[in-house]
Amino acid sequence: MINLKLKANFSWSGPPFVARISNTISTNDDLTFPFKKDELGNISVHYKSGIFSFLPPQADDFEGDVLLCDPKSSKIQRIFRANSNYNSLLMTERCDQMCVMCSQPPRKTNDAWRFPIYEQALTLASQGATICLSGGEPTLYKAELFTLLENLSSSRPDLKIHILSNCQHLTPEDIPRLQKIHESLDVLWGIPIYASKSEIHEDIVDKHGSFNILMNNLYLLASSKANIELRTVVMATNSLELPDLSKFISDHLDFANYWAIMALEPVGFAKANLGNLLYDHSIAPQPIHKAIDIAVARGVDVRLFNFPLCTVGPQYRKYCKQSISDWKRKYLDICGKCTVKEECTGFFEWYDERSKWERISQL
Amino acid sequence: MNKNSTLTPFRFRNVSDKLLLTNEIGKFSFYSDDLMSRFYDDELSSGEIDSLKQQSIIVEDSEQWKLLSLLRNTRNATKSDSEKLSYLMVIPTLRCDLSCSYCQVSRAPINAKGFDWSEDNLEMFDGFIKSNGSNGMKIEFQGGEPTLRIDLLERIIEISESYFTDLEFVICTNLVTISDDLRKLLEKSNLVISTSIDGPESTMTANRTEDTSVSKAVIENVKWVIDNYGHSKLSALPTIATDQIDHPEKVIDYYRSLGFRSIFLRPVNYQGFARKSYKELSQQIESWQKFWLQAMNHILKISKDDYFEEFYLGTLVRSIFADRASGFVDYASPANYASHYCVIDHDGTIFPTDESRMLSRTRQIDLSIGNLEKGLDREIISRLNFNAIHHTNEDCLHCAYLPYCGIDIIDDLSRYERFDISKTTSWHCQKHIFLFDFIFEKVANWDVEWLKLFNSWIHRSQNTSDALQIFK
Ligand code: SF4
Ligand code: SF4
Repeated sequence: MINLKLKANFSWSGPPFVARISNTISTNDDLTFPFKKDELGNISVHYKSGIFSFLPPQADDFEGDVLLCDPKSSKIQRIFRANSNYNSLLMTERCDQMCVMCSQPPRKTNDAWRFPIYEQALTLASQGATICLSGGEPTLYKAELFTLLENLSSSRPDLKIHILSNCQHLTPEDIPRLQKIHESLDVLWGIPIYASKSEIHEDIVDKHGSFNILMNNLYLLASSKANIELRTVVMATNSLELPDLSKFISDHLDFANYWAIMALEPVGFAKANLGNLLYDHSIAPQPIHKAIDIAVARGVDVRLFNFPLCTVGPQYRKYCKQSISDWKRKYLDICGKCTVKEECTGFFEWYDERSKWERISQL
Repeated sequence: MNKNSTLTPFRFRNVSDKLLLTNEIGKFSFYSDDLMSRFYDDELSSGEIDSLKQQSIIVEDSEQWKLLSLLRNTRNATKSDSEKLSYLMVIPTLRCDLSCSYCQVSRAPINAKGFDWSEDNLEMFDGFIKSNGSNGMKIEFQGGEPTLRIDLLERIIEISESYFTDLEFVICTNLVTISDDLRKLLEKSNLVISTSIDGPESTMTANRTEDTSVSKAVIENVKWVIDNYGHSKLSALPTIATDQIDHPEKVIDYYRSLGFRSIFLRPVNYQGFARKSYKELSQQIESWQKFWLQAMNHILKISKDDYFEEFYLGTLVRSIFADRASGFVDYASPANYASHYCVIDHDGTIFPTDESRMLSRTRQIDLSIGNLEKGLDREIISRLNFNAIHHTNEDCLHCAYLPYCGIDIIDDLSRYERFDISKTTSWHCQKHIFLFDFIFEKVANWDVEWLKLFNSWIHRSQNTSDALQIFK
């Protein structure tokens, strides 16, 4: 695990700011600063208002990283690691849904400060990077979000933006604006759908009436020529529904770019509810195999996220993607001699005895 | 029914002891057979209402997406993406070195003159393919016996490949001889051959070669191709003549013994059916159905051990439950003639299908839609297409199988010399109703043995998770 939030010392106090630290990038932006590393590993940066320094807990390359710094709480956050191809920004912790397995449980935060700072950060992201805008629910700040996207489409059209949204807040009026954005910026909307039966879906997201809103809005979103990723986390409560959901997606949502079936990330609410939620697909993979078979037969591009290769049947391994971000990915002892470790997504850092799948065996 | 809801079009038919309901795009479900009387008396059970909602037959006001989904799927089912050809059949020569009992019209004697593509044809083909071809297209050489003019095949391939990459070629040959030139062509990885195998040597001799030694040679050549290039290099079609109709097992087993995993059991050549009385037709249909059912039971038995499919039923199963767009010309509606497929005859005349070429040869009717010199005649094509939409046919309009069925006005013309007959009396309809009933009976009764077989056809493999939910 790579720690992204670090303690730091600031020689002054003030509002949060964004800084890129680099000794090689030559630029005339006023957001990039050189850094020094002493013999103990301490990194110090000469910022406009003073000096700040921090001690990285493990050896890592900080060259080109974009940091979110908060002198008041004496913390920095590595929001974009230059040597990672997947970085994300938490746009808000607010949400109108309360999903049983949420990995980032909603809180009523004050988020107004984030957008201008994030916009600065995004202009510093490395060329062609993929940046995930997550939450909470980013579209709760629709006006700010759309403006951010519009600005990016002229300032950084090279970026790939992946927005994780519950798709509950679009209106027909948004469509012309979104369509324009989609024409000039590569945006992928990741939208969760948990079952084809509205009761099951709504139980999981804990919002009555959300299923039809989701479906209506997916059609709206699609009409703006959006790229859409459908996301389904597999839990004990919806696993048996997967084959039906597969059929449903092929019937009604075949405009999506692909469908991601995702293994549970045992953190946040998921960790608290493990007893009710954990589905051990390693001993009962049939619903997943069936969902894939139906999707493939009916022309849906289907992918498995967060599934270690050895936990699904041999002919389904080709659908597994390396979806776990490097900073929170780990492997088990048994993986040591495995011949496919390089291609295997491994496990979330928080995977443990309680969230254990029975059948893990080296290939 | 709820006031805040809409009813969308649906069709129904009794299948087994249940009522099959299909919606506009073929989403189906089964109900008890008194459903319709209760439907309009508002006496549906909540389970029935749920099922009708799932089929998007009842749509709540809060479910606008269902209407959008219906619209979208309906458009996808009827639109033709491009006016470019994706499949072209070429007849470089009409001459043949065999004279099969069921092939009187589609051949000329081996030494006849004036039945081969001319130099002019080749030149005009250059312009034709340039403006009508497309990448990924398939070009099939039919005859006569196209391998009599390997030189023409080579030139046609060369011209086509000068404009498009990623082409596929099929040579339909009787495989009586494999010349050195043909051997050289076979080395092309994007070229396969298709041949006729009616059954073992004795059947071959009776139907086609009239000479045991020729039959032997054909079978040797089939094996040679398979041994040297694998099964993917060669496909084969049987023509089932009257003396085989009692023993479908024989031809199926013969195909298996050659290592084929699929067979296309085509009905006896339709030319023999032309202008028959209805009584005779119904007898023919009956004997065909008997043959076919016997064949299917045999295939079911075989598939306990090995993958095996009947190609046409497999195509129907796939298009109903999986890929929806089957791409079958005699099996689409609107037929969109010449929008992605056509046939160029030995003299440069262009036809919408191979059957229409035959019909025109027997001078029953001229169905040509252009020629290499003048190109495609869009006016004639649109006149044909106007009549090739089953959605506007008074019989099909009410048929529960309409979403899965197509229209074949060329077949109607060949059998009845007109296409304004009542569709339900046509061979096309009776054959398809029979096949659709066969399929949907298995689903209605949830006949797992059959559904597993169908599912293997969908995946073209027995190694699947048996996801029978695909039949719901
Ligand atoms: S043993 Fe480890 S590395 Fe190998 S497939 Fe399983 S989880 Fe992946
Ligand atoms: S041809 Fe027959 S089976 Fe096909 S749609 Fe028309 S009536 Fe139905």
